[in-house]
Order: sequence, then structure tokens, then C-alpha cells
Amino acid sequence: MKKKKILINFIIFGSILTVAVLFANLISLLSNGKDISTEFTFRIEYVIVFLFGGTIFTIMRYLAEKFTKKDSKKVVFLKSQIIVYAILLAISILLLIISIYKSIVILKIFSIAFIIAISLYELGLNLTIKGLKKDVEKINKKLKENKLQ
Amino acid sequence: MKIEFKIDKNIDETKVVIYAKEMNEEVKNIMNKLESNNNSESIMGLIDDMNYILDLNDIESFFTEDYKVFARKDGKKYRVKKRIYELEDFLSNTTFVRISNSEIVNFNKVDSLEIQGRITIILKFKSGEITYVSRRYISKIKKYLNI
Repeated sequence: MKKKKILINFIIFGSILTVAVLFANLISLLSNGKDISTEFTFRIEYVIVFLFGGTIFTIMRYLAEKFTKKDSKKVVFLKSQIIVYAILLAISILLLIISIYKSIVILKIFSIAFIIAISLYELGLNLTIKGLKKDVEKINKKLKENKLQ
Repeated sequence: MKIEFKIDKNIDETKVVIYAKEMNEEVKNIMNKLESNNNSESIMGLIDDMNYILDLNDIESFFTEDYKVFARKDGKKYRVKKRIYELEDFLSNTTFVRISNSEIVNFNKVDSLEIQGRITIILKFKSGEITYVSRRYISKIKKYLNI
């Protein structure tokens, strides 16, 4: 991966996870009936989450792309990518269950944040797929028209 | 230098064979001139040290494999001594469109596109061959087809 691409990936994934943590924190405060205006402030954890999220997801993408180059088959790459997300989601859910049972607040926030981040990414991916399907339909239609001409 | 010219009605494609003791400047010059004189409608391709002048209309695609560039025509792979980005420039305003970082495809030879799995876009050639399209290059295809 190029340096620019790595940096963009880092910022995007770091931001997604940070936003997810902010949401999770907000939900947690609301569910505990706390005053958001006073309790919801900047915390150093958000910076750590940004760096942590950026690093984890960038490494994940880097490994997935490296794996692609070896096999040069996009199908393998995508399947491996889906497997990685599925594993991460499973780990997050497991952490959430552990945090609920053991009442570890920070772990609960982290796991919820991870679930939200993965879900947001999946949502974005699904929207991309929908757009792609439409594009492919249009291209096929045009190819048919060109054939008839 | 002797020049011999033969007419054979059984030959489908014009072929130029150069007989020389070794590869020298004179031979290189002749080859370069042949390539450049063949205008932009053809390109030189290699199979086992044999040079072939390939008509662009007959080529299905240009692709990279192990850091080398090849042209695919009638199921055969011809080594091309141009980088993929040079080919992209060379083939601009033709029926060739870049579909991924490693492939440029002749859209006259394309049958259809298909989505397989989640976001794997498969391009099917009229010959039955398949290849993969990078979603980042879909916009280039759309631009070429005026969509």
C-alpha cells in the first residue's frame, strides 16, 4: 500500500471507531440517566481509540491486500475480508457479553463501539454494492445496445 | 542488407522475419521502424523470442503477470515491451479501457459484466474468458460507454 493510502485508511477507520465510541458513550450516559451537558466531555480515551482503531483496521487492510497480491484473485481477497469482519464482530459480541457479566464499563463501551464501527462499515459497503449493481445493469444495457447496432 | 519479399495467399497475417547473426543496432532499428510504421493500430508482441505484429482490434486485453505485461489474443499470451501505464496512454481514444490496476480490456471483445458474491465484478469476454473488474475503474467504463 502507498503511504498516502495508508494514511487515508488510518484516518477513515480511526474516525469511524472514534465516532462509534462517542455514540456508545452517549448511549451509556443516557441509559444511566446522567446529564449529557456536564458528563459528555472530551476524554483522552477518544484519542487512544482513534489511534487504536486506525492502526488495527489499517493493518487488517494491509494484510488482506498482501494476501491478494499473492493469489491475484479478488474473490479470495473479498472472502478473506468478510471473514476478518465476521471474526471481529464475533470477538466484539463476546467482549460485550463478558463486560455485561463482569460489569466492566470500559470494555462494554469498547465492544459496543466496535460493533457500531463494523456495522457502519458494513452499511457503507452495502450502499456501495447497491450502487455497483445499478452501474453494472446500465453497462450491460449499453453493451447490448452496442451489439445490436 | 538483403531484402526479400514473398507473396503467399495462404498467409492470414503479414509476418516479417529478420535473419541476423546477432541482435545489433541495425536489427533493433529495423524492429523499431517496423513497429512505429505500423501506426497506432498495431503493437509488437513476443512469444519465445519470436516477434509478432498484433492488430489492436484482435487483442482481447493487456495484463500484468509477474511484473511483465502481456497481450491476450485468441487464447495466446504475447509479451509486450510496454508498461501498463504507457499502454493506457497509447490506447487512449481506442476501444480499450482500463478495468483494474493490472488490466486494460478491448471493449469490442466484451460480452457482459456480472456481480458475483458481494462486490466481485466479473467481466465476460465473447470468447468465454473471464477477468475481474476493480470497482474503482467502473467510472472509466461508464465514461467510455457514455453513461
